[in-house]
Amino acid sequence: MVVITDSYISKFGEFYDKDLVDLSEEAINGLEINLDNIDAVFVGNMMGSKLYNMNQLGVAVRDRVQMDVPFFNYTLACASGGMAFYRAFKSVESGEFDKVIVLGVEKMTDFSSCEITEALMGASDFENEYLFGLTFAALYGLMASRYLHEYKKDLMLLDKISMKAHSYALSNSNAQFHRELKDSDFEKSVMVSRPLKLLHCSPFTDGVSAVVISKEGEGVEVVDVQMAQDSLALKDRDSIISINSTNVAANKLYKATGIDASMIDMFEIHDCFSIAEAMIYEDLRLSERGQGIDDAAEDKFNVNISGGLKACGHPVGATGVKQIAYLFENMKNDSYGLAQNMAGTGNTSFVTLLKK
Amino acid sequence: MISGQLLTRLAKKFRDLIGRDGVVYALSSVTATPKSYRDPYDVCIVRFDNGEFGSYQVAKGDLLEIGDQVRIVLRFGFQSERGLRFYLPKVVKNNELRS
Repeated sequence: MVVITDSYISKFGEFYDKDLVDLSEEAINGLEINLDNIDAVFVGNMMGSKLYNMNQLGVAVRDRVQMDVPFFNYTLACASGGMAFYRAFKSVESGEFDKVIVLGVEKMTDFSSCEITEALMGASDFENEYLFGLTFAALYGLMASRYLHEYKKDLMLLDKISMKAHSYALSNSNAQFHRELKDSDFEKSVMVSRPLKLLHCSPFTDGVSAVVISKEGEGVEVVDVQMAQDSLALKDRDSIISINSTNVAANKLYKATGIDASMIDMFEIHDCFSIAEAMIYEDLRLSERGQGIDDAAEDKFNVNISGGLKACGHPVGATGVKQIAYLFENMKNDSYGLAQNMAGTGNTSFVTLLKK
Repeated sequence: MISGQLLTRLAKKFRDLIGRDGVVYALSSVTATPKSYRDPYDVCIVRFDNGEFGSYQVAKGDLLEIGDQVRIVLRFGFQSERGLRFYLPKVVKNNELRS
């Protein structure tokens, strides 16, 4: 059995006085553990290489915290944290290591939105998307336009999904935003990529999260972690109104564990744009096709109580770890929790099932 | 920044795209532009007549809707920091070509 025994989630927001190594140190020191018992550290980060010219963040953190164990770097766009957790889980499950730290960290607010927009496009297909000037908001705008067209849905449902996220974030002291949204806010919200307005998009965020996973100990069981992949470019997918990699990974997880969506009590999912939340409901089989947008708007399931990426914040490399840490800290006894983390427009998805 | 060498390599790929016809499958816009582009622009996914898909910028001034008939043409894309003008395949309304 693999268990999560401890976690740390920083405040999410803008921290001009901290760099990637400072944030990582804060997370490791924030864990209430004896660091001498740790066998390895798995570090997820997306943009350190591009923005700070740091290809070896793990080693820099190792120097700072003076731990004489291997530090492994994982970069897989917005699923860097999910990837680090997946590899750490496999290493403990296989017996390679007994106890490890998984760390997800990102620093986005030192740069202009133009530079971050460009850096985020590292998660896209260079020749088919980046080169033609597509941005991530535009890619999700394309998905949203087709989804709304195909299912004949009203854009206002996306407003409701964002309002729900902000409402939950009010109770999360670590969240980036503590502001309830009203209908009138969406009328004033600037258009980022039609039909998506600023209030339909997750923000740029600094933040760090960490969990300790171990072969033994008191904590929350990691029942299973599954991953799946799809085409990098949106144009090469069978469908642009679903996240097929999430669907495949979830189906693998449900089959392997005998637990389906209806038996899970709490979800943390990758709502980088409000349209993504609608599609993920369908791909996790919480909702029928075309119904996810209504179910998300009606807050039908226990999803993203943290405020999600939209309102808690989205430090891209940290998000996958934060979702799992948040479930660990907030699940009730005798319950299941599921985290879903993905890269880009869903080329790679990780789903993790926890049991308390 | 996109280099001249890269554009030369891509020119071959672009040649095969020019003149292809299709239908607008999905549509969006870019307001917060990457640094290579100065002005906002629209983008779309085109479903070509042979069933393949492609994602492109829409030529400036063309107002498209999902379902519109379109063609791929070569138009000015952006200017590099060194002043080089780059051309990209872009989408235009098919009826505009006929008029």
